[in-house]
Amino acid sequence: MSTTGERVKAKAESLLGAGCAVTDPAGLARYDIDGTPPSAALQAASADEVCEVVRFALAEKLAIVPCGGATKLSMGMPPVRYDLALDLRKLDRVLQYDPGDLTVSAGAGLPLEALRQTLAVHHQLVPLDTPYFERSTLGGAIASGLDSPSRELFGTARDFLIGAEFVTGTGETGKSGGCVVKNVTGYDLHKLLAGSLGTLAVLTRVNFRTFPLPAESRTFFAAFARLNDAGGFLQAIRDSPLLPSSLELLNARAWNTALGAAIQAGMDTSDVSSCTGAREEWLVVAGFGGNAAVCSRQERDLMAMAGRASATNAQSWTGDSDALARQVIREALPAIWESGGGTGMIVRIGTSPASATALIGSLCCAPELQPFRPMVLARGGGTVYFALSPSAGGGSSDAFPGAVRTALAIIAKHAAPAMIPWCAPQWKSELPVWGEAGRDILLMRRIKQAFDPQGIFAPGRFAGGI
Amino acid sequence: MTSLLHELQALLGEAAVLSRPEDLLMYEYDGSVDHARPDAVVFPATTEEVANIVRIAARHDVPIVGRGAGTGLSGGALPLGGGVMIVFARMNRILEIDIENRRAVVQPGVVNFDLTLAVQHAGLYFAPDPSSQRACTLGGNVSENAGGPHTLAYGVTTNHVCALELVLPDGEITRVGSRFDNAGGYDLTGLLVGSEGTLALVTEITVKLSRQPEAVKTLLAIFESVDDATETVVDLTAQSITPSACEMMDGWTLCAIEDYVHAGFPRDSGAVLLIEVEGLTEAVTSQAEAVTTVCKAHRAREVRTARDTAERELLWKGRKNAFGAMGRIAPCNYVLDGVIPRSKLPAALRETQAIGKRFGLRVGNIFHAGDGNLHPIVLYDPRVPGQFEKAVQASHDVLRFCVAAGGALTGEHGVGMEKSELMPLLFSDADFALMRRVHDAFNPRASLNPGKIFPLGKGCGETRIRPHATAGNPAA
Repeated sequence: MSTTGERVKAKAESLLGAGCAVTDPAGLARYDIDGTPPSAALQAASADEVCEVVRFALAEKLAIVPCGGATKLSMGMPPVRYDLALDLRKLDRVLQYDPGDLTVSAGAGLPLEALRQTLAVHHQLVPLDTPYFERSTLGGAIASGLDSPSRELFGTARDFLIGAEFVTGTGETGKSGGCVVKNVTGYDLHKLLAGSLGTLAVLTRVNFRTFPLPAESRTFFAAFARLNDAGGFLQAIRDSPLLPSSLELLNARAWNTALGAAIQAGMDTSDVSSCTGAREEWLVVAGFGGNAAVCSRQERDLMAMAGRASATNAQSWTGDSDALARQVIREALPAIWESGGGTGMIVRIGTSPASATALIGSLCCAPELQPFRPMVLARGGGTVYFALSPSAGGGSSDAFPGAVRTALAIIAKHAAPAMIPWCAPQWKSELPVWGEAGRDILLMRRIKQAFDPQGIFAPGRFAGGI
Repeated sequence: MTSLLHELQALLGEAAVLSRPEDLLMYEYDGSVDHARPDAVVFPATTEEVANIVRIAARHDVPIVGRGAGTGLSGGALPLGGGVMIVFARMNRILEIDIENRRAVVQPGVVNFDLTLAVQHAGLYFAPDPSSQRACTLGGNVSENAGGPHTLAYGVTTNHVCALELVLPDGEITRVGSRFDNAGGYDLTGLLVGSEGTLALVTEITVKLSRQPEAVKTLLAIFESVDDATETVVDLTAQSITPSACEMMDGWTLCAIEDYVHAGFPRDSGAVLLIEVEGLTEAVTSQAEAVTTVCKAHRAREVRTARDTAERELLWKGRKNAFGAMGRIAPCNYVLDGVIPRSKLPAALRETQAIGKRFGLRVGNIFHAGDGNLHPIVLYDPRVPGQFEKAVQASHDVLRFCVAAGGALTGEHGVGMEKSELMPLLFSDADFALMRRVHDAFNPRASLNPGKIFPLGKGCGETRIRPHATAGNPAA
């Protein structure tokens, strides 16, 4: 145990009670960021305790990284100082839920799955189905800024997060928004916290609007030999009155990788895996829901559109197969990342829906990228995830950064902003993890200063060295 | 002042600068009950002109307030500290429409409904639809994070804005947000939308366009009592029936509207709900049936379905002109804006009526019932001494009730200068300190729209507020 660790442990236990500080190497491994563990991990059970920890850190000049399920700690740059992991999993209660209000308020440490179960009893949902779902907390899912398949219908966390309470870098509590669906009282500070990776404040309580759970849910799957046909199918869906709850395009390698991870996890994927053949290179997966009549209508229209777009195979899944397909799509990005042993990168690109197909074509056809097993998952709204990995495809590690730069140059030609949410630690110093900074970075620095004047929250982890 | 005016005239031309008292008169009002007069009103045509105006004003240490159409209801566009008012009327061009990707880039002076008119040929529209949508501007919508009846299903302005071009108080021009997926970094767009012009001047807006639904059904449910109508709304929500709009009007208000618009509303009811369901034909059919069943279960006398677009538009015309209809009944009205959790609706309506009685004032009720956004209209006569003050006190009592019920001070009209002194009902000193630091990150000298949102003593730029220009009785 380090000296800092011992000192912190003694102080933390006086603040938070015995057993609330972890300092042994085995216990700290969970909080490791790119190979670096903190000196100590502290578990806070209330907003007041979070304040205590932050004030202690201020006094001792210690840097804090807030942490929930510890699934996304590697996102962003590694913090330049990492003294304390602040574990928030004890803030795990549903604090206010009247189904008749269609709102819910919960501790930031509540697991996504626990919220899902609470709401499902009342046939409601919060559309926060981000990757690592089963191990993530609400706070982590919001702070990571990761999107989810259901953004097609509901947008991202910032669209349905209606309020939050948090602790700022001054060790004081703060709040914004509330627990009503319409509210313009004061600045929407909680929107700043969505995607802030814990660099502004520690989320302690989060409020969402909820939505009705559809009576039935289905997943439509169509396979295509040519990318342009798959792109045409996506465009046809966008031009139709249909309202899919999720819409993704994947290359076969990405789909098979995601499916393979599900098989490895012991799931029965036979119904779902039987439909991909060798010559089908591109897959479109659309989730939709509603009552029986609405589902049948969407299924019928999708089938007809897939046929017109020259799909080689089209199916509609219900029940267990639907649930499995949704899970496979939701967890596709972690599966793709893990398949390369975490040695590569996944870039997130914000392009237009109409030009996504052309961009994906340029990326996947570039000969110099082939050794790095390109994989694509593109959401219907134009967000494209593109993965390259040096370990599994025979590409040499030395050539990897060059290959990524080639990919980034192709992306830049399409004038689409890009960032790298998954990046192996060894490439982070060479690659633009946060993309190209705009002039608004000056405003972001001032925002950081407003929330965290001493810079104690994950210093250096965010865009522009924030 | 003379040298300031000369510099502004040199920049913009004489026609684009107003400074004579008779010219300034109409700019001392917005849709609220407050008033404050600017020293000069300017009409820039480009972002660069806005930046230059800001630099000139900064050199003269004069505050600036942006203004769209002046339809705001919380005094957000009133120049509490005097100074230069920037009116965006000449920056009213739609710069780009991208039908394929459902985006539009507009200048802040574009009228909300004009954007919909420009894209409806392609089956698209701009979803936020405040009642003033035929007059109010998108710049104002962004400042106030405007709502409207259909935000129940589609969200408020912030859910439909992707990127902004800004002029900061030092004259810097910068861009925030991105046209499609976010590019990493803090969601500054999310902070700026609804910041009531206190952080930056918005000079260009990139918005999302929505696809018109395949089918729409508009239902008018007529009830004998307000309680039956509010209980219906609670039950609809509890049963997870989600109309795209769910508006309530009480019987007295309906008569006033009917006299004015002839929309076909009953004259002998306790209240009506105007409910719209949208989406796929199959979904609309079943939702309309479900809505009808719930209404009938709560003793609706009649549930009428609009037969065609004309009837539908007439019903909405009635709803959206309700505030105007009040002008026929009383010399002045005060439109309130509070939010409550939806399950508290019946109690809120009873409380509103009780408060009206207590102050001896007529209160009409018309509001976005589906999302718990109350808009009681307090009628008063400014010529009767003390009545305006009573209207304000009644408003405060309604808002105190909203907060106590777990709601908020404003759902869509903004805090402005109207509600800043009530903000401590919801926020602590530490909350204000953080908001002030965020404010100062953009607007450190409080040169933009001083005196708004923050209560006196908790904010910044109080020295810029003129004692004689604060809230008052417009007719006094």
